[in-house]
Amino acid sequence: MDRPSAKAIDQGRVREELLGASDEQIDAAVRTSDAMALRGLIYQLTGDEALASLDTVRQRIFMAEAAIPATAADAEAIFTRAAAFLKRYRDEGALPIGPGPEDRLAKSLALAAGQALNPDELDMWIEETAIDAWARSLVWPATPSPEALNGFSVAVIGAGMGGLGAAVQLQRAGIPFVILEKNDDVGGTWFENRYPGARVDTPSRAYTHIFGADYVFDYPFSPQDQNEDYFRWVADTHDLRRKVEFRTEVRSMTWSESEALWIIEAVTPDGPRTWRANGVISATGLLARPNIAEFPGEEAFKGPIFHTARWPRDLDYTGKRVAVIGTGATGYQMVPEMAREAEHVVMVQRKPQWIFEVPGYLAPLNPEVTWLDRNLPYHINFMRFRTNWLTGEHVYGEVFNLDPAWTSDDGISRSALNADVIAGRKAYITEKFAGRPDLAAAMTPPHPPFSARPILVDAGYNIYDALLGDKVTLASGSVDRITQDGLVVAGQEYAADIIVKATGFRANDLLWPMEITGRDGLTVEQLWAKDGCRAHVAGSTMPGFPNMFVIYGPNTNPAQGGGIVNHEEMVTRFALECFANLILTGQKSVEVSQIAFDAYNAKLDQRERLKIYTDDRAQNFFMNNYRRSSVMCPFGPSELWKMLREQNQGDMIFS
Amino acid sequence: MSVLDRVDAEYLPVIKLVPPIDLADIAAARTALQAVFAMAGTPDPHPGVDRSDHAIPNAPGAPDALMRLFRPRGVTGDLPGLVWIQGGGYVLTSANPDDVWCERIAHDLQCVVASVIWRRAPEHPFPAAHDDCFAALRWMVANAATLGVDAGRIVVGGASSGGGAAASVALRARDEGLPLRHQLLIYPMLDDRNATRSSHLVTDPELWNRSNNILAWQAYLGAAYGTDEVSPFAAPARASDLGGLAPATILTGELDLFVDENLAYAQRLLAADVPTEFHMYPAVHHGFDVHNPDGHQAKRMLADRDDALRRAFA
Repeated sequence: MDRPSAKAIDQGRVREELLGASDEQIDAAVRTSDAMALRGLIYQLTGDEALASLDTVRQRIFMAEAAIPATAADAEAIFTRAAAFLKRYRDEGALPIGPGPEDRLAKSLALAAGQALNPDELDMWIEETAIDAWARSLVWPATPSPEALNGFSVAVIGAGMGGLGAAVQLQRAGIPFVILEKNDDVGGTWFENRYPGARVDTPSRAYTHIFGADYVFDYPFSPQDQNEDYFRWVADTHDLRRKVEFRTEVRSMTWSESEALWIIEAVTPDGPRTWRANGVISATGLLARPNIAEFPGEEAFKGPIFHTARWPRDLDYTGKRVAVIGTGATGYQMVPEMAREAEHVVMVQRKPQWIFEVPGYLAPLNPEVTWLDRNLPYHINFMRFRTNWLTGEHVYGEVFNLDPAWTSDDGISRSALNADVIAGRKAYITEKFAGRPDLAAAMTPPHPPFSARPILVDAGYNIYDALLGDKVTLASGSVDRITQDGLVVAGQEYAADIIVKATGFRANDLLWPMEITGRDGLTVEQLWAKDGCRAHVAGSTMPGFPNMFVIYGPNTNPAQGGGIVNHEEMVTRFALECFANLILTGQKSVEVSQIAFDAYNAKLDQRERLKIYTDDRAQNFFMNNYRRSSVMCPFGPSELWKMLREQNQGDMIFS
Repeated sequence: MSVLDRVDAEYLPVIKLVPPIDLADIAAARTALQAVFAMAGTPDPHPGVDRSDHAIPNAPGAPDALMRLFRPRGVTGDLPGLVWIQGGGYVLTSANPDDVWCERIAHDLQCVVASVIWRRAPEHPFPAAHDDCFAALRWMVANAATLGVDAGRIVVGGASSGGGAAASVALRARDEGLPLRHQLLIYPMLDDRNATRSSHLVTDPELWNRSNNILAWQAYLGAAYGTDEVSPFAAPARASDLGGLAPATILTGELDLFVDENLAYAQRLLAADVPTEFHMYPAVHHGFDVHNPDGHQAKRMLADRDDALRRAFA
């Protein structure tokens, strides 16, 4: 796929597109960007101290406070300087330029954030800004011999975000590997979930690997096909397809102590096959195994009935009556979209969710912004930083925390900020459903926001608008049974031609259904029998399971701001560092010590008490059957980053 | 021009009987081949030969290679070994890897035969099949004592793409210092460039023809097809140096698509001072011995094959 990429341009080509731009075009374009991002960027490229001295104020931006220029004049001063820079750059020939002095970055990022960055986190933020696309690659402490390298191999399970990221880094490190992928193509979650309206809820600017940060997305929150395109681009750009065994589903992995390797049994188009690998990186994903609810009477239904992750490719629901069972993120994304074409949609809801309307959530980015991504050097990097900052642990991250001392007036809230959010949400519900108190009541959740996944929706047209239209009917309650012609919910019958199960995923059954047996016959089920899935820092590895690392493993889903890719890349680097140590020293296995694992999990349990996700009134996948979360991560990304950076021989046992 | 007109009449009835194989549709070709195997039927296992299936360690990142081992029943002590590689243009194989042929060799020549079930292209392009075959040799050498094989008397052999793969295993065995007594190359598929006279000669749909051969190489080589990036371990004719290889026996037919590349390889082996035996049988085509093992030229070839193996095993 040939796609304009910001960094590729800096790697050798003149920005022809910019050479043809007029002053007016540039003046207009910079004013579509984020003033704070431009402030950091232009400072980084020019060192213009006037940018540093501009005033900022803190303002509520999507539920949390962050700095913006103090006045319109301050913003204008930034835009003027950005335009002047870009015109000068154009006039000098728009040749590739470097990213400015490295020792200026701390200040430049602080100017974009509007506050100083903690010195001990600075390197993480610099990595995330992706000016160096390979900042998270393995740095070999010594050169390995070709014999040692070729005597080691890694099996990567899954070719989604995590698996492709690991594969790119393994390839770059020169470590032999294979990817085992159960599907027909790459993309993982974004290959499987093709339901109408499927869309990412992490800003797309932050939803790439850092080596893919120069991929110019057309949407602020990309729809499924655009995400899938990105994964194909990664696979093609890095020539990974030849390393992927498609339609190959791993059934079991067994550690062989005598050989010091994993024996991996998989089902392939050629029948059962076995792989042996010194190391394993499991990247099978969190929301990967559908939770396929079974309802009485299903077999009698005349039409198609399927789970959202198994959407029939050729399904035409135009003019059909559709019933959607389930109202998590999937149901709320899908129903408004289906209502456009279907004759009618019945939405079966046991429990409503809090929605958060984002202006332009569905719309493409302003083309002038993507023009800047291509033509203003490092714009894409500083926009990525600014996005990460606003959605990160020091801004948006606060919404996930409860206040142990808080007593609520509303019976729901868990902190002052949470109460504030609830008040805002209730006002939105009241306003939207004015004249429909029945819907307002039915759509008001009984649990605090952030104790279940916050659902981002479009401010212009979302699930509330769909319910207010005449094409969507809300059926509150549980499905009693399915009939030949539809379904019965709370005693009431609804006709349907198609039934869609938006019943989510088995998020608490991580690594399932693979049968994994580590040292001395220990299985993951045995390790997790007490209270569900657990792992070492950032879900990375478990005692008793040497040479095995997990991407998006237990307790990894961000609940202190930041995106999942950041966590995945940290664990990937950690895994590769451990493998590199084995390759260089000739030792056979690496395993987290029980003491380190226990200490991390004690800390995790303690920290979890400060998280709203432990409020189990939402009864969702955030909590497992043991009333703890085996999914959510209570630590901020910088904490995980520091913990993984500080791993030492004491925590990881090499032998 | 039809080559079929020149083929010895002894082979024509079977040629006419079996459905043509056209690799333009690989799935259909595989189905057609299965039909041929079904027509031939599955004979009872040889009472004098034990067989066992094995999954053995392979190259990094590759799945365990699959193979079927044949050993004369009740015979103890170290026997010579043959790594046998079935043909199929790298795209067609049967689950039954030349069982009858391997049993007969194991029994008649009193040797251990390891028959490789290599991974098929295009699902598994190069180096998949080569890795699988080399893994079999490495495994037989490394486990010679357990298997009751004399590591100093191991031969690699194969027919058609199996012959090409056998030549590639011989090249790699030389490069990696693995012992190899002999290479038995039966009308081997050696050269991806399809530039020889004989590679243009055969176009009959009933025979292994130019179109199939090009499609097979494209499937096996993937993106490397038609470039200078083709590894000698994929196409041994590309090897720049044949010096130091195991002694070779090359058996081929006058009307085989591969006859020119087989002759050329034999000449280059001789030029590199590799002990080489070459037989070209008149008026026969690719796979003639399979089409009619009782044909005159087929009997000659099978006798030459056994003779070469006996000398190598001595």
